[in-house]
This record gives sequence, C-alpha cells and structure tokens, in this order.
Amino acid sequence: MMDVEPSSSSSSSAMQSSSDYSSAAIAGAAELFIAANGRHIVCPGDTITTETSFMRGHGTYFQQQSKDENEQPAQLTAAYAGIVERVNKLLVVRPLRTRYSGEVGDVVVGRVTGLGGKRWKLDINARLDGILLLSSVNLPGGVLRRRSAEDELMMRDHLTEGDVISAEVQSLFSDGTLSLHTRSLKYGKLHYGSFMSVPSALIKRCKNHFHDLPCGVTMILGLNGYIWLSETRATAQMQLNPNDEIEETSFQITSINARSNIARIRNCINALASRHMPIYDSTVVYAYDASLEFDVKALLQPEAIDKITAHARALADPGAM
Amino acid sequence: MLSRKLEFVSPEGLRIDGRRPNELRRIQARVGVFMQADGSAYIEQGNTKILATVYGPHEVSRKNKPLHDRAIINCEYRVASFATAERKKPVRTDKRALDLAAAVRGAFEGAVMTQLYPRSQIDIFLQVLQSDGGNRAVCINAATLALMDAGIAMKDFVCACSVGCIDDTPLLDINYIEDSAGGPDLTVAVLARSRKTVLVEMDSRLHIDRFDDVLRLAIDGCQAIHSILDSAMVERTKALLAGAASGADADL
Amino acid sequence: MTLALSRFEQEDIAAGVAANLRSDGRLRTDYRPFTVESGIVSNTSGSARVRLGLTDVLVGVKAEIGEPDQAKPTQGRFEVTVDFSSTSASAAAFDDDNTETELASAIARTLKGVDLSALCIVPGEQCWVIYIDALILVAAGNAYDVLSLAVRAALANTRIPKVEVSDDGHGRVELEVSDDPHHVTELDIRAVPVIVTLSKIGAFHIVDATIEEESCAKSRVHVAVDSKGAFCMVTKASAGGIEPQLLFDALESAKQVGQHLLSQLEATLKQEERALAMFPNSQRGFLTDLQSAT
Repeated sequence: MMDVEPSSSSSSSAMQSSSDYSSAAIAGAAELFIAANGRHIVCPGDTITTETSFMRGHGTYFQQQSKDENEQPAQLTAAYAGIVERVNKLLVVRPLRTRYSGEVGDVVVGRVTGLGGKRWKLDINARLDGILLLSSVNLPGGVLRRRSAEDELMMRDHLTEGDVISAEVQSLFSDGTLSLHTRSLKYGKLHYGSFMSVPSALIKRCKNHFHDLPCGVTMILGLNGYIWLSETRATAQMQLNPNDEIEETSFQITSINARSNIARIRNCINALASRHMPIYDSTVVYAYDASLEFDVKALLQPEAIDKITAHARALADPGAM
Repeated sequence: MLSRKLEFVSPEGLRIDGRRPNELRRIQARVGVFMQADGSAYIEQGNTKILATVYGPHEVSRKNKPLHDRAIINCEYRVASFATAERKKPVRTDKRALDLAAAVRGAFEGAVMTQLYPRSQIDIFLQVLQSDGGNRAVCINAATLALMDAGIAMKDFVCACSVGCIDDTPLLDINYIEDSAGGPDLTVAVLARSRKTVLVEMDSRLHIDRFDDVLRLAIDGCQAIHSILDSAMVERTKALLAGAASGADADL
Repeated sequence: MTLALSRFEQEDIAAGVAANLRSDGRLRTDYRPFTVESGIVSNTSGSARVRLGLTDVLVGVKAEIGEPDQAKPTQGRFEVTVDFSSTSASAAAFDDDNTETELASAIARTLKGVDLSALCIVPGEQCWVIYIDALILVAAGNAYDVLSLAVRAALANTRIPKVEVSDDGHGRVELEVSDDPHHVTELDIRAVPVIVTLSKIGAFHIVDATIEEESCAKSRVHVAVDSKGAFCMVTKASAGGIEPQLLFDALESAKQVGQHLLSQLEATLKQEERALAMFPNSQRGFLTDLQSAT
C-alpha cells in the first residue's frame, strides 16, 4: 500500500474557452487527461490514441505497450508536456514553452555574433546560431559593392558583431541551422531602437510581423522571440535611388516623445510575456490602451501588470492561444 | 541486532519519522521557478529540497565537441553550504558530486530524444538547498520536470526512488538518519510507463535474496512518484494556459 | 561576460540615460521592484531570498559557537561566503565579472561596523560565529546590490539561541545552549548597510542597471549606505575614470537611493510579518511564487 501526499503547486484561475481544434473528441483515446476547458493536456509517455487511422505529427511517437507486437497496435504517444492539436487526421503535441526551431519564411530578429568565410553568424535564440550568407544580403551600391565586400573588413563595414538585423528564414541546413536572407528592402540592419526578448512560443505566425502601432512605435515581432521597437519613420531605411541602386538613408536617434512610448510598449510586452500571453499587434495594443492610466515605470509593478494583462485577455480572441 | 531493528523500525512497524516501511515522504513539487531558464522545477521530498534548471538545447559550449547526430547532455550538481545540518563549504571538484551528475546524465540519455537536437547541448543544473537523504532520486525527479518545462522531447517521465534495507526490512525513501545506519542504499530510476530502468545504483552490500524485494519496492515507489510528477506537470500546463504563470498563489 | 550591443543601441541607451528616461521608463535613480522572502530555508538560523530583475539570490545564516577574532575578543564575528549556484551557470548568465571572493569580501567589509558584542559568550574564548552563505541562483547583474539586500534580510530573520555560561568552580566553563525556540536573541541590524551600485553611462550615473545598460557602462561604483546615510564603503571598479564632481554627485544620489531602498526593505519585511501572522500555514518559498515582474 502506498501512502503518498498529492503534490501542490500553482493554482489556476479562469480557464480559456475551447480552441478551434476539436481536441476533446479523439476517437479511441485511452487514459487521457482532458482539462475542463476542452483542451487536451498531455505529458510525455501519455497515450494520445490507439486508433491507427491518425497520422503522427510533431511531438508524438509510436510506442509498443505490450511485448507481443502482433497483439496490440503501437500507440501514438506524447513526447512533450503540452496540448494535443489535430488537423484532420494529423495529431500534433504542442509544448507551451520550447526553444525556437524555425521554418522557411519565418521573420526573425537576430544579433551578429561573428563573421568570416562570406557569412555572418547570428544569435537567434534558437538551438543553433543562424547563418546569413553574403550572397543573401542586399548591399548598398549594387553588384560592384558585393564583390569587394567579400573581404572580411568590407563585410564588417556592412554588419559587425553586436549589430541587430531583421531577416527571413531562407532555408534549413540538414542539422537544423537556419539560413537567413535580407533580400527584401524591409529587412536588414536595425539602427536606433530597443531590443527585447520574450519566450518564442508566445509569438505566433502571422501574415505580417512589422507593425506600425498607433502611438508612433514600430514593432518587429521576430518569431524567434526577439523583438525590435523603434520610432516609426516616414521613409524606408533602404531605398532605390534614381540609378536603381540600393541606398541607405540617414538615421536619426529616437526623439524624446517616442522614447516614452517605446518604453511603454516595452513594458506592456514584458507584462504579456510574464503572464504567458500571446504577443500579437492586437494584444499589445489592448495592453497599451489599458496602460495609459499608469506612468510608464509604474508598469513594472505587479498590480499594473495584472490590470493590463487582464484587460488584454478579456479583449483577445478566444482560442488565440 | 534486535536493538538496531527497534531503533529504525518500531515493533508497531513505524520508522523514526512515523512512516511505514513502504511509505514515501511527503512530496511537493513546483514547475517553473525561474522565468528566464528554459525549464526549471523545485521538489521537496521530506526535508530534502532540490532545484533543477535546464538550459537548451543550445549551441555546444566551447569545452565540448558537438555530436553530429544528437545532443550532448551536460549535468552539474552542487550542494549549498547551509544544506546539511552541519555547515559544509562546497568543493567544486567534489568526486561525489561529479559522480552523481554523471549518474543523472546517464539516466536522461535514455529518456531524452537527443537525436532530435543534433550538434547542440542540453544543460541540467541541480542545486541542493537542503539535504536529508535520497538526493540522487530527488534530483532525477526534479530534472524530469525541468526538462519537460523546457519543452525538450522525452519518451516518458524518469521517476526515481531510493530504498534502504535495515535488518532485512526494505525501507522506501530513506532519509539521512536511516542512510547513516550503514545498510545498503539502492537508487532506481525508471521510465514510468514501461517500468524500464534507466539507472540502478547501489551502495553497500545487499544479499542477493533481498535484491528482488528491494527492487520491487523501489519500482513501486517510482510509480507513486510518477503520479505526483504528472500532477505537477499538468498543473503547470493549466497555469500557463490560463496565463497564471507568474501570478500570486491563491493560498495567500 | 557582457552582452555585445550595436553602437546604435549604445547611443540610444546613452541618450535615454541623459534624458532621464531609460528603456523601461525609469529615472536614473529608480530601482526596479524587488521581492523579498525570509525564513524559507529550514535548518538555518535565518534566511532570505531576494529577486531584483532577473537576479535571484538566496542567503542562509547559520550560527555556530567558535572562537572570536583575537583583535576583538568581546565580539562575535561574521564569516561570509558567496557561491554561484549551478543554476546560474548558463550561456545566458551575466555576472559582473566579479568572483565569489570579491563579492564575499565586499559584503564582509560592509559588516565591519556592526556591533556584535551581544554575541560574545566567554570573552577571548567563545563567541557566536555567524556564517553567512550566499547562493546566487541567477546572475543577471547587480550582484552587489541584491546580495546586500538578501544578507540584510537574512540577518533580520536570524535568531540565535541564548547561552548559559556556568563555571564549575574549577575554572572550567560549561555552555548550555537553549533549545527553546522562544529563548533567542535577534541581531541588531541597524548598522547593516545596503550596497548601491552606480554605473556610469556618458556623463551620468544610473542605479540598478539592466544587462543592456550594464554593457554600455564605462565604470561602476559600489557604495554601501546604512540607515543613517553614512557611507561604509566605496569601490570604483573597471576601466574609465570619473571626474571628482561626478563622483561626489554619484555618492549623494547613492545616499538617497540607498536610504529609500532600506525603507522599502523594512516595509516589505513588515508586510511579510503581517501576512505570516494572518496565514501562518501558507505555502512559502520555492513552492509558491510571489508576484514579480520579469
């Protein structure tokens, strides 16, 4: 006879309403934990289903439960602690916290950590550093400039250690390293502004990751959890001059007004992150609106954080998580 | 012989702390202690209190060589000066600490799906805040929760438990005093569902006849621990879904 | 280990500091909110955990009977050690390039002014030795400040058993340590200072630098301030000089900031005491989580 005390840890408050995915009614499921809100929570080793018609997606694996392989079919088993999501016949387990892994087309913000061999190495908050090949960047001055930039000194002129860029994932190397590019005019080196970091799981894939917020702050939400905040500028950073060559425009340091708004947005984003809420342009704006009754620095206090995140949660779409 | 038995297990079958031989100590667990770590957990098992923190997967640190097909698991174990009844300054290259860290690493190499993270490194850091026996097992349990909190793919929970044997009586989850009796001390870690062992370590000699009983008791203990760890993990998931990750506890 | 920032970020941060509007809206003299929990480690005479920003420090105090310092035979003494926990050893951890010994010495120096005559047991022979063991759980800047707050809170939490000294008539001394939990002495911590670290960015000093701000700072000054405002220690660390006038200004603001910190700490500890009185069995320490901002 085993006499054990149940564990106790954090208690949960109001639950979210059910998601778009029909997680609750998965046929043939055995020993499942179904949360009151219809979310199907699993932990590693949990059987998701014994139905053989489902396909194995990310975060699942097949496990033989009995020794005799002919007797029982392999059961689809969870490999993460998280929630089960289903798209038609594909079952996936999504962990709520995990390192960024990256897919082609993702918008990311990264910081240069090294260069050489016609490429830059970047910290992108992922399992492995990202790579930006020289051939994947737009250099001002056109084609001629690129050839002479192969020299390390010239590469350093363009991007050096510590520089922050926005980029898009071009491809994946076989070991999962992300190869980035900045070939569109909207990507490239970031100048005056504020860098911040949140758990990457809180940033969802959207059509657009560059947002000009109503308060005059431009926000770049990197899917890797790195975020860049800057004063909204009228002109683009890189433009085509009359000769159709790429030219960098001049930069101005952040103005005082914008500085206050950027700080406010920063604190709002940190507030959302501390309550594990998803970070979209809409949730940031909701939080911002609720934050206006407080001084910018008062947003560091738990009371203010509670208030603005509660407001954002109430307005955010149900099932946004 | 008889007097020793009376000392550790009373005629009524109660141990020094009032438990029965097959009873675990009270276990309380919390997942998600440090915000910026990839994963973290804290476990109190009786008076043994341990913190586990996980970083990764991330680039391999300079002193290690990356493996092309899977992740390296790195483990470190430290005991606070105030963790033991008598204050003891921790020594960095303590052999026992290195040994324990290696044992924990070995246990998780069997459970973590390292092949999903080639050329990277997963760090498991263990810090003992209070030491009262069963450190090895509690470390493994805390590390399991921390790895899951970090969203690192694992086959199953790794649950561990220690069993001692004093005068032919197997005692589950021995504390420091019971451990000091000098009898054998077996630590077992299993993959929860399959009950496959990933770690079996024993200090001191145990008669082969007793081994079966002792091992069974340990595995039963691991099963009980599994449900506790599972609850803690589900609580954590629910809390994250509800956005209560860093909110105040409802107790106060 | 410092974070490498781009020169634009550094300029931007410096401009913010000059405008007295930092990246999170704080003034140069503002600390972020911090949380304190005391008495959360059993097996100790006193303990406290302080979190400020991401930095997380746990201090355990153990009182043991030992020999006094021969230069101060009628006083008890402190022994301070600082350890970086294994949990702090990550690629993302930033310490101030301070070794454990430097931090321990700094704390020990700040405690020199504390009167420990109440801890004398037998002059010249036996006294209480207060072992202060600090464990840095997460190193993310401000180690000195957070350590000093945690040490002060832990000492405030410390209870030392009363000792009865009896002479058996033949010159042999017997000590009887009371194990009655209410028969204890508290430490007088009024002279225990808090350390305020001032980081110089451009022509200004800021307190409680974030990791990013710290990497822009050219030099740092640590000032120990007690409740009377008196300075106990000033250290100037790392490269870059400070003009005397600037140093004087920095010390002035350290004094004000330090006293404010001390009163905040007092208030927090009192609040904790009240909460404990109301809910004596509430879960504390690592099993629960005080509301804290990132």
